[in-house]
Amino acid sequence: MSISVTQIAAKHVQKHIAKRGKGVGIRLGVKTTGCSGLAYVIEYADKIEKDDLVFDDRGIKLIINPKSYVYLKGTQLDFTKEGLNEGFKFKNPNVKDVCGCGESFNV
Amino acid sequence: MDILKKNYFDLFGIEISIEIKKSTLEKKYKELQRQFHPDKYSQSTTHEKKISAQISSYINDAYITLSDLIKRINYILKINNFNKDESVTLKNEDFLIEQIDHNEFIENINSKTAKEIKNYKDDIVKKLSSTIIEIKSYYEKKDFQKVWEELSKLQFYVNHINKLEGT
Amino acid sequence: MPLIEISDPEENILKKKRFVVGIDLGTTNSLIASRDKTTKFYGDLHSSIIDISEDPKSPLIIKSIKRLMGLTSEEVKNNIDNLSYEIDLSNNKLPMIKNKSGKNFSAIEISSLILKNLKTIAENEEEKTIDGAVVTVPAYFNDVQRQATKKSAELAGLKVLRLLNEPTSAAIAYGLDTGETGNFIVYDFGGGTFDVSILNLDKGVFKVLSTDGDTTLGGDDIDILLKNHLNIDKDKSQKLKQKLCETNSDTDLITINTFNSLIKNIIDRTIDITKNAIARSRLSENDIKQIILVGGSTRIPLIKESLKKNFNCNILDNIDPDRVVAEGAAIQASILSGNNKDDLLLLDVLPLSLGVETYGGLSEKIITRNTPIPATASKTFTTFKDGQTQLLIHIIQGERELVDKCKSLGTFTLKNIPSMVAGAARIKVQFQIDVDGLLLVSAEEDSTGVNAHIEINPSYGIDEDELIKMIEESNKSAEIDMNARKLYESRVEAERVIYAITEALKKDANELLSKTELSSITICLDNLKNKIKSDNSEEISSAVQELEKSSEFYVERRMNRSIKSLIAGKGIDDII
Repeated sequence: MSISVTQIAAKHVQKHIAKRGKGVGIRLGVKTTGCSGLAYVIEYADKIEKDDLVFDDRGIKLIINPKSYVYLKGTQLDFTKEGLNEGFKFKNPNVKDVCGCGESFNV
Repeated sequence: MDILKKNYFDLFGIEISIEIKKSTLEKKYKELQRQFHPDKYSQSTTHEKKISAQISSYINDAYITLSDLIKRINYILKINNFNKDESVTLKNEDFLIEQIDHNEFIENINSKTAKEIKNYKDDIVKKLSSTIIEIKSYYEKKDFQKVWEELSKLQFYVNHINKLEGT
Repeated sequence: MPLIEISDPEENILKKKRFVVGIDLGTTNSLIASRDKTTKFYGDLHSSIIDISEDPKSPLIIKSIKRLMGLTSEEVKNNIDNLSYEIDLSNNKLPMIKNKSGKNFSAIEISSLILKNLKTIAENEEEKTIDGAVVTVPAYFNDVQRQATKKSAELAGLKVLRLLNEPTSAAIAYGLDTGETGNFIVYDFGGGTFDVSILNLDKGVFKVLSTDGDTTLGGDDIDILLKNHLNIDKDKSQKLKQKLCETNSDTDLITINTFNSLIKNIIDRTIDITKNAIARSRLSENDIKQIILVGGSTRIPLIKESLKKNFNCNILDNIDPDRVVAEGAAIQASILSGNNKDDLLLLDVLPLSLGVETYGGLSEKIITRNTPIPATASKTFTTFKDGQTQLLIHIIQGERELVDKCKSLGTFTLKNIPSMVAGAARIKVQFQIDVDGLLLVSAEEDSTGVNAHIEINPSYGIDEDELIKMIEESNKSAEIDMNARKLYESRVEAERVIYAITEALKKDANELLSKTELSSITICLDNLKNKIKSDNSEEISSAVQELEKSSEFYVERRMNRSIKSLIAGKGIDDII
């Protein structure tokens, strides 16, 4: 299963990278946090490491460490507006439950 | 560095004058140190640390000089390019005799009553205040030679009071 | 699920918190702590007693090494008695303690073993390397003792962020630095020593007005009194003392009244010393606002009673007196490392006057005690013989008129003075005191435009070569991977510089730099960002230096600009 981005997310990623002035793509990952264990991370990527998995979608390189891929396979990265906030959102088919604080999830 | 070339009054944003406001000096001192003290640069580049130490020392020196009346007046003479000749001492015979009298009082202080000492001290304080007034008026006339002469008297009175308190 | 922003990994490195600690390096006990919102102590009190025998069967126990810090052999001979171990005083500079296998230890090395132990305990608990430490020293420590303390910390592999005076540290722990104004007594009664300091506090400016004490008076003396009075063993007497302190009432073995009368002489002596310190501070007892209690022995109820009876002021004792100094040091470490953004500023003063020897063995003061630090002062020396090319300068510290009564910091030889007629050379010697109260000396000849570089040879205590040798030797035995350590340090340094420059550029690059200037800095910045990933510490360090060099002019512009914004606005108040 691959990793993908929505049209609107791709547009925003391109805009962010252009503004920063450098970067080969974005790195998606998970880190341990919150009360149910894992949280998403998106970082600019300046280079691709040896073991990295790279997915090309809509002109964006999505880079993932194999360890994180276990939790993220099949995920689609979206961009939405919720009230006054806007930002990226992970549509992850693996998620079983989301913790009350909303910060972390479990697979 | 431009800062290190500023005179102490400019550094503290105070007009050059014989008398200055203590609270302004204190406030500016802390403001300046909050900006330049090396502790504020402990995470900075080496060069920045070095410069902050130089500036912070300069601010401390300025603070000490401006806080003290005699040091301050000496500094005013210095920035007005009045370089007194070290070999010339005050040639004022009246004042010389006055000095001898004052020193005699201290030598014989054990024979004086508490009241005599108090009156004497009050008298010196009065002389000190009037000397300051003299200095101010000479300074307004830009007569630095006279400022310097009165400053020597002032210095004597200040030392004399310290000596009295030490006995 | 919350919405997510793309984060920049480069900025993440920069925001990383530093692991910094405060260390109370005591005569009897030491403590190590860190501060994040609250203070975290690593273990409890750690004994400052250490075995240097390298042979568990016949231990060589060293106690109270702090008393020997920075002393020459002669000073040890004249001031220290009843040591429980042999000390070799044949090397005049550095007294040495030899163990059975023939290895020599100086006080600096023994101290560094204590520090290394503390470092290991904290690092194991956090599973992180310590990035920096604030180490406390007694307020009366002179330059040599401070240098020795700093060197022992370096020898233990600690980067010293700051040496902090113990009473000042206690005052920081009580939060007295924020806005309090007044005079305070710091009454520090430890296991083996009694120290008292009178502090003046004026909205963030600390001044040590006077210090006094007795380095042979401590809680241990009280244990001995109890032991002898009741004919019990040392352990039991310690426990009994603890119980008496907690309950302040009679026990099976002794009534509280008997205990109090037993220790009255000792307590009275501390009160006398305190009064003496107040007198020397030129304050009257009514000028004192509060008393801060430091040291485990201050738990003795009679002490509080006596202090209340003798001084009409408020007693501060709600922070554990054993921990208050380490806590203040941890707070200061966290501020200096940038972890804590409090707007606290500690303006410390020089504890003892600094001078040079003049004709007739008299001291001429160059920087007087209680001068705010950092400070600089300069003095011009000249030659007294035709063609003289060297000049010896003797630097001393202390308040007395006679050089013999002051601490000799060492002699400095000025070499390469251009040959001239007597009195023609003008050698300007500059004395700089840094924020730790440590002295640096530099010199230049500036008559007739000959700007000769003059070499200075410090000759006191321990020199850099000896120190490097010691570090190498100690590493051989400890099997520390020096290269790994160096690499780690150079990365930390690189991160700090990247952060400093990046933050500065964000704020005012547009305003202060032309496009060309900006790009010359960013080239070096990007280069360092690349090099930081390398495993070569020298490559990283040289990239750091390049970046520093490329940004010097920019740093100066920034400083000059901030002074302009400060010089404005005048008030109308009292006149001096």
